[in-house]
Amino acid sequence: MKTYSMTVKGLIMTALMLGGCMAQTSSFVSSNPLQSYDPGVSLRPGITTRQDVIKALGPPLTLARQGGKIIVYPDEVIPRGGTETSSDVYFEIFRDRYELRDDYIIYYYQSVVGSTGTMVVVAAGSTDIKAYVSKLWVLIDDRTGKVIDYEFRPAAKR
Amino acid sequence: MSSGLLPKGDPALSSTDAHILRLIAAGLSCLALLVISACAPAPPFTFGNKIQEPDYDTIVPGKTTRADVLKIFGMPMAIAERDEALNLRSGSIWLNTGVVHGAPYIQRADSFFELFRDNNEIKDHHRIYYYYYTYSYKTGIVALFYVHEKERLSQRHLWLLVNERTGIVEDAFFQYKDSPGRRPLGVPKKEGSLRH
Repeated sequence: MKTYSMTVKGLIMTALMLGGCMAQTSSFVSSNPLQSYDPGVSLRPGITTRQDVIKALGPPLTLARQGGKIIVYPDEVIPRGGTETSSDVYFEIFRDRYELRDDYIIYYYQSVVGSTGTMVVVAAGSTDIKAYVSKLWVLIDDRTGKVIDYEFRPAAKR
Repeated sequence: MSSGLLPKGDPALSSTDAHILRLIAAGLSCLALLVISACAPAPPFTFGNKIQEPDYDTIVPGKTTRADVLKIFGMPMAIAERDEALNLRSGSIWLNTGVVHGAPYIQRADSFFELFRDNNEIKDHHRIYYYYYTYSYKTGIVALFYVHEKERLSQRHLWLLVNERTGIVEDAFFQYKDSPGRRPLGVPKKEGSLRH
């Protein structure tokens, strides 16, 4: 009887373990410069230059000029696709604060943190991946090369 | 004597049969441990041509030629012309639960030219050779029901401003970033950018 019980336990354990990794959650930090960049410290309107921004963050994901077109991306862990739209959508952010001149440009950066959750029971399971996106718009006077203002929207708390 | 794997309370079960069943149970447990161990190490994903800082240091703006660049780094991911929409592709990366596959995406070349606009007079015959390298891997520790996994990602970007008329590299910008933790072999730095 004892041996029988042991065998059954062995089979149950095997079945459970074949299920794989059980339940787990974790976050994945995308390798993006915005993760370690503090706009409040690094971006000083009237002082910080376009080159300072580029040196710290690299080229913008999107460069917006008034009346031009930009490409926007879905909030996913890696860049995917892209849809062309009017750059006005970015300038709207600053429209109430400044009289926007034609030589104003916007650098747009984004940084993604992916959060995953998995539940596996025996041979069936599901995985859920959510992307939390931090977004930074930097308004620059293209004539002087100086930063005028910025808008930073950090990712929602996980 | 028992005739099957699962005895039904046969009082006549011999000590030899019981020993065999114990061995089977132990074997199943070992098999289970081997199966779960399969979750741990995972092969890395690499995408693009490998770019390393020592290679970047060999570039001398005004002297290095397009042929030198192709010899060192291979074919670029894109050769960007002003006002062009580039078709790029991201590399696959590990998450703890699996893989996020790389995908094509569009990016306007204008944002690349921003790198060089302040120090160079950009003309129609200028192109940007863009290289991208990504290395994603994960490590894991498995102890019975406990699984602990860590994913890492290293990225390298290289932009070279090339004069298509002369075939000379006129400027360069290199960006590198690693997620925290161990870095792949030969990658000394964690985060930053370099320009000549």
